[in-house]
Amino acid sequence: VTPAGTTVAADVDPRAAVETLAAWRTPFLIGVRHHSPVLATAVPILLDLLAPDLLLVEMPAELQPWLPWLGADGLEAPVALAAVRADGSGLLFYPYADFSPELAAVRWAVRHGVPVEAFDLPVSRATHDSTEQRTRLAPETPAPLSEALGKQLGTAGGGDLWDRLVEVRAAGARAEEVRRAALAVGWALRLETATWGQVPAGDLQREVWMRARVAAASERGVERPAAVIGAFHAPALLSTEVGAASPQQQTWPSGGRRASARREKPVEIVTSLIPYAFELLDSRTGYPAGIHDPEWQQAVWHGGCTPEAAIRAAQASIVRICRALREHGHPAGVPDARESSRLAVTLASLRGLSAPGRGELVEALQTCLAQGEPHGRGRAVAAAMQQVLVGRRRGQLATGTPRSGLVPHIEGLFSALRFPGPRDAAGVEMRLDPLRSELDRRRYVTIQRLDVCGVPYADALSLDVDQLTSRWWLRWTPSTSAMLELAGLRGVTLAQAAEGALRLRRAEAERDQRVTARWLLAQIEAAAECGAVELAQAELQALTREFRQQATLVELIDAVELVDRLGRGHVPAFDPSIELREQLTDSTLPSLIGAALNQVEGLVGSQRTEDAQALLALVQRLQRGDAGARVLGDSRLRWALERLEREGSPLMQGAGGAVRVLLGHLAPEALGERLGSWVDVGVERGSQSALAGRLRGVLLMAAPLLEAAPAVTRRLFARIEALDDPAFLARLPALREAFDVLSPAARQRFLDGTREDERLVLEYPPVLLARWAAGDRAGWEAAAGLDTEALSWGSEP
Amino acid sequence: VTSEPQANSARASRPQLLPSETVHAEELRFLAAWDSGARPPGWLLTPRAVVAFIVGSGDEAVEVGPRALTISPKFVGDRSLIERCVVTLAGERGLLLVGEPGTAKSMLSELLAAAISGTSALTVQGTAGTSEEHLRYGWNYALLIARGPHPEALVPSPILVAMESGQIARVEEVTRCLPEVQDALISILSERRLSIPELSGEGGLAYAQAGFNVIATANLRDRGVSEMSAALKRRFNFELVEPIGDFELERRLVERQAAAALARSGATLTVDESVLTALVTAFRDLRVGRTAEGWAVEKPGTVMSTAEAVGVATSLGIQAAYFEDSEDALTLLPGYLLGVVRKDDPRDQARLLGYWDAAVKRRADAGMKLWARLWELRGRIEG
Repeated sequence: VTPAGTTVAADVDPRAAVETLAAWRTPFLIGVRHHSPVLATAVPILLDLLAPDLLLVEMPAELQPWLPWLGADGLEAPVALAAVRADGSGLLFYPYADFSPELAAVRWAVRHGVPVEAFDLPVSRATHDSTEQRTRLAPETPAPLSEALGKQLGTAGGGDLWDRLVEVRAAGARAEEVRRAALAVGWALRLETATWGQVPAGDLQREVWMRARVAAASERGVERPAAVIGAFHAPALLSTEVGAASPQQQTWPSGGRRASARREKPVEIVTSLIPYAFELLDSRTGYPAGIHDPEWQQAVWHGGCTPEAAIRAAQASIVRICRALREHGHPAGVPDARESSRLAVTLASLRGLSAPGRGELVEALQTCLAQGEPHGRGRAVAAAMQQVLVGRRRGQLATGTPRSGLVPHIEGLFSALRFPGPRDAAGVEMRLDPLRSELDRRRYVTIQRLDVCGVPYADALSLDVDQLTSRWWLRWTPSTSAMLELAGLRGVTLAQAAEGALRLRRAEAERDQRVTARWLLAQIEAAAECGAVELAQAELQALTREFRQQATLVELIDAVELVDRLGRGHVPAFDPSIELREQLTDSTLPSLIGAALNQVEGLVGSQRTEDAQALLALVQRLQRGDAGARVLGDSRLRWALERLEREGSPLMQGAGGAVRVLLGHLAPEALGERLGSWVDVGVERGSQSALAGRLRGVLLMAAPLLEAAPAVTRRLFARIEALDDPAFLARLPALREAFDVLSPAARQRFLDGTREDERLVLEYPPVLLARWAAGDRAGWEAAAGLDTEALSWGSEP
Repeated sequence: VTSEPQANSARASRPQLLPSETVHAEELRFLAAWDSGARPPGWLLTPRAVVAFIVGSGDEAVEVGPRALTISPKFVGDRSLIERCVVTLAGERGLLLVGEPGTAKSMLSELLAAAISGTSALTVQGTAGTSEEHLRYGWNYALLIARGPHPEALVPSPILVAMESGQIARVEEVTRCLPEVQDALISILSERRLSIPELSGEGGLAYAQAGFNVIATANLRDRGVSEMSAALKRRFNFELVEPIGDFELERRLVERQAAAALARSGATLTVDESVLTALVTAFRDLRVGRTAEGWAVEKPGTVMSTAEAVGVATSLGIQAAYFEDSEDALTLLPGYLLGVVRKDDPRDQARLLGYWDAAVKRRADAGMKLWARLWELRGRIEG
């Protein structure tokens, strides 16, 4: 006997167990997954047959007032119900589409005048749970049973298991068969969790509450109750045990103290019913309680879940995907569509299914259209699939539904932050110091979130150099109201709306293939600034994957700086966990620095000063920590830099040499010697431009080095001074060009650094010196032109 | 003197490797009897039986009447991949297997051909020297000159043979052929016939019989599929064959194959399990550029395939078997790893050193004995 009071032993006969579940009448059990086209189709039929006198749905009790509006005739799915604590924490979010069994059940009940009760544990009493916990099929536990089943069915994972056993097999089946299949999967997952894992305390708490509600209903005289409940929880309702007395008196494993504290002060819960969108319902956007490819699910539901309809839906989707591919300039014609749909249908029959499911559809498209290119064409196919299978459907509330959601939430939030609201005509200037004051931190994060939602409200007046404090101009305008209405589609709190906006940004960028390295950096920064920690964490993963290959050296260095800032906790809204911090410093940072070092090798031929500057930034970064050396070994960098100095373009030769001195790989004297020799070889035009490039490289890297290490400059100047005037003049343009890379101030500092050398001070006017030099040269040439025979007498008097 | 005839007879017939249809003849016969369902025209087995032949029957035996046989797994990987391959071959497009070198693409194509047609011998190896003749037909010039164009003088390519007999033809490394030569496959795959203009009358057109199809393989390293013409690409369904995802599966595969290779050379595998674990771990870390612990390491440019790992394990085994006084396998491992890595790019040696300095050292520091020993051997890869 598990803590839930349900008997699950390894030697239970599955058939008998499912039979008991199916025959149960207090209540009649419809085990569902939160989204499921076949069950959404089956639910009204089952309810028609049973004609219950009370419908119980698995939603927290606080959502009860919304149920008539949810089932109202004018409502168009997708919509979402939400419940959140007044302070914005503990958000529970239930999106519904036409293919959600709960929505189908509520609609049926409202249409038939049957009372509906939201019989799940109230949010205010829940000690620990989340949307994810409340809407998933089963908790994540070691899953040997699912794995074994999955292996047999050629798939893996719980979601897939449901698809394989319920969704795909149900095509054309009777409603009662569908109900039994769903109950069986729920029972198996329950058994698995209870045997190899542990049913989470939050789930047990909710089940006790639900049993109590069922008992209360029969006490009231309800005769034929029906419950639409997660298939995983259905076996828990078999027990009549409701705990010692009522849920309030129970002590919960980890939440007892908090629960008793809460009894003293009731928690205020804000609920809302808002229109929703398919882009957000797609689970890949990471929004809670979504499902893959909602438009596909909609098509399957719309066809009434018959095999013929499923095949038609697959064919229609394939044709649309081929069209979308063509629009993006990739060939995909009728033969491709024909082969994809043949493959999908045949694959289904090979697997013993009456119609292709989403899995077969995706596999067929990958095989027939992607042509083995995961990146080029494969990406285009994925984008086309997303466009067609996700869809852009938007929901609408029935007329007369009370206003709720983001706008009321914002008004409350603004008054708490003392921000000007819609009734304040004048703007306000505010100076924020988010790292010191908690209120300022909340204000700063709110501003960042509004910005991400595209709501015009705050203008930055100035950011301090250290980015610690900032000044803002805040003002509520009519366009603020307008944009908030739009943002309300993405959530009921500002945090959720901002996160939604960011997730949509990703989806759109992926669809249009705009996910560049620069874009990713901006996205991570925005997510961190908004406090969307999970999202930022997910995006950070990409840094060690595609990003490493795509980014230029400059972008890599920017990424290093950003990761460093995040890891140190310098972004106000982003408080990384210890694990994340460790991951950032131990894995992400070294990986990025490693990639940057790789690119050092690619700089060999570069002529661009930005690249040299990026190299400098990288080296400075390395001097600050040993992360890079840990990945690659010191020898690796030596290797790259030596090669740069030996084989690089002139600019890179100079830069490489200077960097080696900075890192202590090369003695300053040696670089000085080399600089001098570069001056010497600058005899003809080609080598002079090389001289200019090399010197530029050195100067770019090492203006501070040259000031600090006289050994380098001394040798350079020694060589320059040894030149005679024509040789010097020949090299002068190259030297000038080289020193051009320094700012005037840097040049002056450089000059100051060499002033100690007295000979640079002219004792005579330059014009006079030039004349003397010209005279000397003329004399020299005249002497050289003389007949040596004629000169010989001079030595023999 | 007495041992000589024996040696001779041994020399006479000891093929190093037998084709799949011979090695697994019993399983194939068994599976043909097992599933009596509908077969695509020209196929020896049902699609379901072909899948079972390749992925194996798991722990359960397949039963036909009183007899039972456990089908051995022959390809380690995704079952749905095999299902897609089989379904593709029953249709009108060819199957193109792409992937990194050493992901068992050729083996998969051999198994598919053996199961569907009973032979894997109708194979063309694509090289830069492959000409249209190898894909279409050639002539026996002596006969051609003696008797003129005549069906007997025709030398059919393996593909033409497969067409006329309704079997599966294989083209290995199709992308190594010049694109113009590859395109000879277009008309074969789309029209399913081959015209032989030199022969007049009925002999001038060869029709593909039911059961014919083409499996081609291409590796993503050398030239990839980018130079393949769009027209030819459209005649193929593509399947990307990935390296083995699961560590334990890969380790067992390496052990099994190395043992089999050693058995062929008359020795037994004596390499320690922990050495194999280290070997496979290093290969996997370097292949994906990330260690099992999640630390970043640098990927070398060389392919770190399972096949290469088998090669190293086999070499270690041979060295242990024939050189009794050689050092232990773990001591030899760094040298062999270096040999695998330093193939295309001399910088890969530095990358391997980097792996040692990063991952091996950290594991050694964490007190893992095996890795501590490997860390001590760092000098062996510096050379």
